[in-house]
Amino acid sequence: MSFTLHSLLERSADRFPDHPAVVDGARTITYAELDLAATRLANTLSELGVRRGDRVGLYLEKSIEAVIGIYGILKTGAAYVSIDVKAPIERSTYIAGDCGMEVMVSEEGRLSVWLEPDSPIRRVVALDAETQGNVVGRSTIEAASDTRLETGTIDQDLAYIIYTSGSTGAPKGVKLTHRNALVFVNWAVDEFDVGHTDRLSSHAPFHFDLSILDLYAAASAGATVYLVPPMASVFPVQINRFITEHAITVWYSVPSILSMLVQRGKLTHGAFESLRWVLFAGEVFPTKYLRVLMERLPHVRFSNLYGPTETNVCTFYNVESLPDPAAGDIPIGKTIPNTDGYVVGEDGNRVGRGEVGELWIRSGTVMAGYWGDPDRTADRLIDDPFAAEIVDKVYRTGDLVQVDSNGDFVFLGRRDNQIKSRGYRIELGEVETALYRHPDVIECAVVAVPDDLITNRLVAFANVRDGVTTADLIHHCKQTLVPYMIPEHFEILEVLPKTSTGKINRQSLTQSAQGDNT
Amino acid sequence: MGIRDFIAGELSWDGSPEDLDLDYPLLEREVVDSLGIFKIISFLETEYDIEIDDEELIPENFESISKIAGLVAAKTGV
Repeated sequence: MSFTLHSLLERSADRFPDHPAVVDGARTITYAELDLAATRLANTLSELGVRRGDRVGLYLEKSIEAVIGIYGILKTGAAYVSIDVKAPIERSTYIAGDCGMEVMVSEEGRLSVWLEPDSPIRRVVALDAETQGNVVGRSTIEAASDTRLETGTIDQDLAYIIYTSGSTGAPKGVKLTHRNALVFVNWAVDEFDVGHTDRLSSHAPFHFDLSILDLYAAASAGATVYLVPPMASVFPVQINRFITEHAITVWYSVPSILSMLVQRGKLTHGAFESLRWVLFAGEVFPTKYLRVLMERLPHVRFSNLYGPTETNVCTFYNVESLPDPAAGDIPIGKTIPNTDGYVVGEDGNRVGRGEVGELWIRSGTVMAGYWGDPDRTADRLIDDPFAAEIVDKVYRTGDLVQVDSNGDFVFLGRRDNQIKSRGYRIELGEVETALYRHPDVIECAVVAVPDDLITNRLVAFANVRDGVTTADLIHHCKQTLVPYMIPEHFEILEVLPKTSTGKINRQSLTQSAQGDNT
Repeated sequence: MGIRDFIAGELSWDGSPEDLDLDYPLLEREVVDSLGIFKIISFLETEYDIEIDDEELIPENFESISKIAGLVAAKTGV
């Protein structure tokens, strides 16, 4: 029985020491090697004062070293916080300061930002650098003890924090415990029958919650995880080659990658002999592409996983037959075992089958709250009013759903301005706040235009002072927003259209944005 | 519209079109991402009346403006 994520690795290292744990291009690390490297890193971090309950940053490209970093941090009893290396420095340092991290695990070429005098980071640890000054490098880590630390970590301790888009302009940290992840991972291993001989793809970055299944389902089963090279996401033929060459058995990604594979991936009938299961999550999979994918891969099973970062995966739908081309989107299905899903109406009561309401989730997968934000936590994570005799929390997802005639949840939309693009969730308010921080933006609005491939494209409209160009606005956004939040298109207007009540008319802007692109 | 103007105008380029050098590493600097590549293909196919094969969708053909121009030249026989 494992109660922590790192014990999954330790158990597999004891059982399958020489089996490949992670493959990154031409490089492979076995379970024994990964466990040993992580133990040494943990002892190094511990020497630096990292203790159970701390937060340690992870700032490096997705690689074997990043996996060592994750397990090294977990083995100290601390939580890891993976920071997008493509995000602007300002956002990264905000996150480091927000969750009070003092130690960063990074790599050569990315160290300087954390060594600035005003950096919140006290020490930087890099597996590939030399030890000097505030940098703790290879020689120190390799000399560290190879005895596993006894930290007393329990399953209700924080394992990781994932920062997502926040409507007020600052990213918010979702706190997840070992238990939150394990309830989901244990289910996934069971449901998708993940075994020692499986080869799982790892497409999602480690700051995105899709990575949890790849890493820990593989570790749990003693299977091998193959890191998908970033360039493969731009060129679908490379995804095709990747799955073929590595004989991937379980693929998990956002649907947009699979749509691109269908459209431009040279996908032939009966390709990917070894592949047995395709899992997707993060956004709606357009039925027309899913249908082609299923036709081409008749030997493969397909499952739609659903759940915001705050709940991990909490519902799933196994796509048993080809969806009718005329039918709407496939459902998000039923709750995973040991999980309650309530559909709640405006009045706070549960609604009947077919009626629309907000999905509330009660499960061991539900987060511990938002980091340093008790107000937001209290707003979303409430005492379960439907199980009053039991003291337990329920998470209000903000997603509108209904239950169809088969008893499956069907996703209909959001209660607020949160949208999805490339599987990432984006608060339109965060993008607008970023634009308003440009001194010459007088007024602005960001709208989401439905898109076949990436679910939504963002279009920004702004009324600006003389001389400001769209290139200036793009440049400004690049300083503050992560790449996936930067609008695809910018338009400068003399005046933004208003409704009769004087608010910016988003509907008219959305229509105009749609018109421009058809 | 030329390839440079298209990339400068339609993708997330924050400088002037003149600064977008013919050998600027579009992929490495992430001027072109997964959606960008689809936009470029559709632009090239319409503008130059060519059809880009899935096989030709490789980084080597799209890493800079000159490489894209080379691909188009090869396709149009110019």
